[in-house]
Amino acid sequence: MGFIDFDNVTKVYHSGEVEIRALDGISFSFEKGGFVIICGASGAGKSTVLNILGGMDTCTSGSILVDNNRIDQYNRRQLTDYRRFDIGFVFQFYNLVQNLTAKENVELATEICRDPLDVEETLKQVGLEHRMNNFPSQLSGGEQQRVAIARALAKNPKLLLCDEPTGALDYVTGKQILHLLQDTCRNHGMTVVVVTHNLAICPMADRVIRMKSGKVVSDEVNENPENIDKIEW
Amino acid sequence: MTNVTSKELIQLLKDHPENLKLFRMKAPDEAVRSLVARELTDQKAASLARDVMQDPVIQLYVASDGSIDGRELMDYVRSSEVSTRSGGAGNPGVRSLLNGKLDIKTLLLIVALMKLFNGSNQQSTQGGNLISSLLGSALGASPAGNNGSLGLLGNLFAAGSQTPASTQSSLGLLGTLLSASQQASQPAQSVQQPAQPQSLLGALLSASQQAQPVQQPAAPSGILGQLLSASQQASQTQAQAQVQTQGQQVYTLDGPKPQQFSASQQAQLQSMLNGPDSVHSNGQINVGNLFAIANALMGK
Repeated sequence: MGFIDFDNVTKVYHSGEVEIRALDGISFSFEKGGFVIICGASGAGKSTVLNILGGMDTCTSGSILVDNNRIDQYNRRQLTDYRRFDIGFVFQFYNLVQNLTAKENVELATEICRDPLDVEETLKQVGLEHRMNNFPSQLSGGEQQRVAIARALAKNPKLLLCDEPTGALDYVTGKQILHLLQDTCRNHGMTVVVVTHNLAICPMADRVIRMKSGKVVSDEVNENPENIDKIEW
Repeated sequence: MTNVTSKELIQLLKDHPENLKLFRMKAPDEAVRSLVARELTDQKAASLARDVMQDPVIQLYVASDGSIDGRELMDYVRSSEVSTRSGGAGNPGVRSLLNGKLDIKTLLLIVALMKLFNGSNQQSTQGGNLISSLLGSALGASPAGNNGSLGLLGNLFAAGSQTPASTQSSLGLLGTLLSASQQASQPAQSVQQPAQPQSLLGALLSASQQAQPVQQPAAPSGILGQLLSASQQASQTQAQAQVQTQGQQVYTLDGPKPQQFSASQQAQLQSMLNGPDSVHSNGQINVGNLFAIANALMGK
């Protein structure tokens, strides 16, 4: 049994009379501290996995264990606590409050959680020590994403979940963000799960789960993950 | 649905908060399309998305990084409005706040004050995080706390004889918080605003700290941390802290008594709170206006 354990998980949506099986009995498991990439084309179900793993959505059937807790059995309040204390999210869009500074945006999240990291230290970690007092509109896309990552990291979560974190960034900036995520995993032992349609970055992961039409089509362990700097696409 | 207005869409989101998560997971205009209609023009989708994202309650939800449950937040907002009406406190200022007419920082200020109030009466169960237990209670984790928060919020700017006992010291708290600056030789209103008001609460505290003649201990980092620190300093002097309110009453934090505001005072406070001076044209909170409100609360 791993740190994360999906067992025969299904997710069914209803659109009118049409039944959509977003996840069709998927199972996988992985250990703490790894860098995991879930990849696949649009509609493969990868974001659904991330949303369920992050407690933003619930599965229709199956069981999901996170650090020995059955999160599929959580009620709404427990899911809120789970998201608040255990999960850091990074999305393609940064979700920053425009009239709060970078530091205040991070503070907003950390004031709510349990054992937050030092805000300034975390912003320093992501390379924003000189931009703490800047508003989002004064930051580049890459810098805004760094703020979002700092906000997620400062919560000191068990699990960092990233949904297309470089989707709105140019090649160079996207690479820098992936570098930061890889460093976070390596240097802090943080379990990082990245959902992407960009197959080219798979070699940087410890584990690659490929999805198609709501099913896991392959689940590979990468014994020799590459540094993102060496990957081109 | 393509002719839906921003107001209708925001109301829809507040009535069906389970849809709010779309605004965390997708670009705002994409989220709008998912909710309203795929065939929305780019311009219409962007316009709706912009308006939705300007709502402070929705901003708070989106920026909380999943830590706040949308349904509970909206239930809380709704119950605040109902409670305010049915409780007879009649507080358009609070409704304005929750209906999105005020800046998110003002919302945070209220949140912080509510938390400080809670913190001054009970130990936080979560290691003293400044707004965690507040949000916990605001989001319904503790019915008693929730009621207290509602009362506090409902009466913060319109306290009267109907004020529940548990909420009265909030005025005292605000008074005490700002009394530090009042005790200084300079009047609070003459305290200069920081050159860069990047942090409302920081600026507020910074101003009051500047005004204090005695040296303060090193403040903890963080805007809310500074506020808490000030509150703790204030609570050390609770026994002495007294606020004179226009000759009507004197109350202390140790023995809170109702603060009486006349109808005209309430109207003045609400006008100041919602007036054009409350927020600068660039969206930044007007700290001077907050001092003015605080002074008005204290009957100065």
